Amino acid sequence: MRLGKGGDNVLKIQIYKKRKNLTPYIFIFPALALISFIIVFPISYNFIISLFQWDLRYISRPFIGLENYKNILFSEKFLQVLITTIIWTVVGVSLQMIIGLILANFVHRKKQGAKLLQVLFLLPWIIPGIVVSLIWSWMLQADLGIINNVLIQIGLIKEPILWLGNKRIALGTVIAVNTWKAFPFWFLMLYAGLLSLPSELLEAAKIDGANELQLFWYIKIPHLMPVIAATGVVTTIWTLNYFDLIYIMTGGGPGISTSTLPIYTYRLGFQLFKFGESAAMAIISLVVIVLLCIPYIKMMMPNLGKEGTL
Amino acid sequence: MHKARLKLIISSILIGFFIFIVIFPFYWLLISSLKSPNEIFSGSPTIFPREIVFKNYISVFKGTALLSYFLNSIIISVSTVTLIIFISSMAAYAISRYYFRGKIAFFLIILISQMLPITTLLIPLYIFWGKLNLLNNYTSLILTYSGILTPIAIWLLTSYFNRIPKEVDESALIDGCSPFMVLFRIILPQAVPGIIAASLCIFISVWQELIIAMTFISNDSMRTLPAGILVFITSQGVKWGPVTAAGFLTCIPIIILFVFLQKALISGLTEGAMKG
Repeated sequence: MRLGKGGDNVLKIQIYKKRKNLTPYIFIFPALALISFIIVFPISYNFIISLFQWDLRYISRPFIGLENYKNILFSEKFLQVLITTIIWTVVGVSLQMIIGLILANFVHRKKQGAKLLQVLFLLPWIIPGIVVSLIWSWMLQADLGIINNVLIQIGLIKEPILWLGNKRIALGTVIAVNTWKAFPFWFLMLYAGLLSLPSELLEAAKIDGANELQLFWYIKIPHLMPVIAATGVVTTIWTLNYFDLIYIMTGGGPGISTSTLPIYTYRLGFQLFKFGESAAMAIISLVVIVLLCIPYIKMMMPNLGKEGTL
Repeated sequence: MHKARLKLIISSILIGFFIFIVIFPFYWLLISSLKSPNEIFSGSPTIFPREIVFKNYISVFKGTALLSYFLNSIIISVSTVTLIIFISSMAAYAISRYYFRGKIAFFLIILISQMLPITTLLIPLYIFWGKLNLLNNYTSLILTYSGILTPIAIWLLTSYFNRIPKEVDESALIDGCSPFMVLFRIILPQAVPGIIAASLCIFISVWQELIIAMTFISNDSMRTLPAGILVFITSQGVKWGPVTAAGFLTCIPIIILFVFLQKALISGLTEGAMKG
């Protein structure tokens, strides 16, 4: 009896093991098919388009090899777009992080009302980007906007400021508005990170006579480092790729003063109808982004060998 | 003591200032949408409207196909969420529970897919859907959104599935359940908070998506809400009254969902991040 039962189990486990070989492929098939269809195939096609002088205004589309890439990489505009992209991303993400950190530290110390503040501070992040862009455009509007009006009334400025129309100011303005929209994610992550800090550690340090600044610098920041790294990568990718806000608020202008890589790619393709050049620009952006993210990919890969882990 | 009080006052002012900056734009959106055109275009903005009028809302509903935009947005968002959750829970289950050849390659594809700027896919997909005659159609939008957001959904769900003990489904497998039954009857019910968080993230992304919607759709009645709002940005200028009214209406479904599901969203987002 006992022997029979044991044999039965062995048999079932064998079936399970055998089935195990094909099942994962069936399970990933729909996702893989969809991703190939919507992402992998279009990128390959994009590369092919980038090798042609593909302009929607002309019928002939001659093969020109890497000419589009050469034109872009050696143009002055590309350098400006690249610099704008770096400023938009680096300054933007740093501001989001600093504000998120200040607020997370504040709410963590307060304790009361923390839940309410958490929900309140998350609002800008969940609101559609187009609405955020429009409401800030409206508030920043030169003659009718509330911001210029208030600034003039308190006497800080005499003439209305062209927040979005001045080449020197526009980039700063869109970065500020994007910070308003994006800081909540940092706040959320850092606050959760602080909550996971054992309170005994803080108590012990306080008894040893550490002040708030020391607590923050020597205990909280080191504890938050992994969260900062992970959130930093995610928000850098998001900020780098973010399109809606700049597109609605300035359209990449005045001139190309607020054109980041995605905005400029779009302008080339759907405003100037230079599909070939736009495709080349898209491939260049892709390379830039993947290069930036290699450390992140490396960070995520070592755990992969083990069964059932990411 | 004096110093401590001063510190408290400064930090209270600081936090009060931040709360004001976060809330004021929402207030201004609502209040502007309730002002009469004369009041909006008078040179000195009023903090409280002199009179509350619903003219902007009426003109939005009467003058544009806002109801169709709304309906299109709902249909597209809900279909996309459903499709993605179905497809990505299967893939996440495979990653979480099985070791298989090509897993690393599949994982790499998922990782890199999340980093792409959408502009990389725009021209090829535009040509591609055009050839299939599917521009101005729900299908092209739903499939495009699903393809773009499936990787991040797989990512979120895998970390959730990893937290469910393996013994649970192994014993079910030995009892003779098929892997499909294990996933849909045993794993998914235990992963409900994770599914809610992932669904809400996808819904929010699709609901506000602009660039694909405005590129693939040229037929007015097929527009989604974000692309529909662009109608008010005319070459003669922006119609601020209707824009603020339509903007406010666009926020409502998101705010309602958020109020009911914020707990699941917050825990889903932070737990995923804490795991790395």
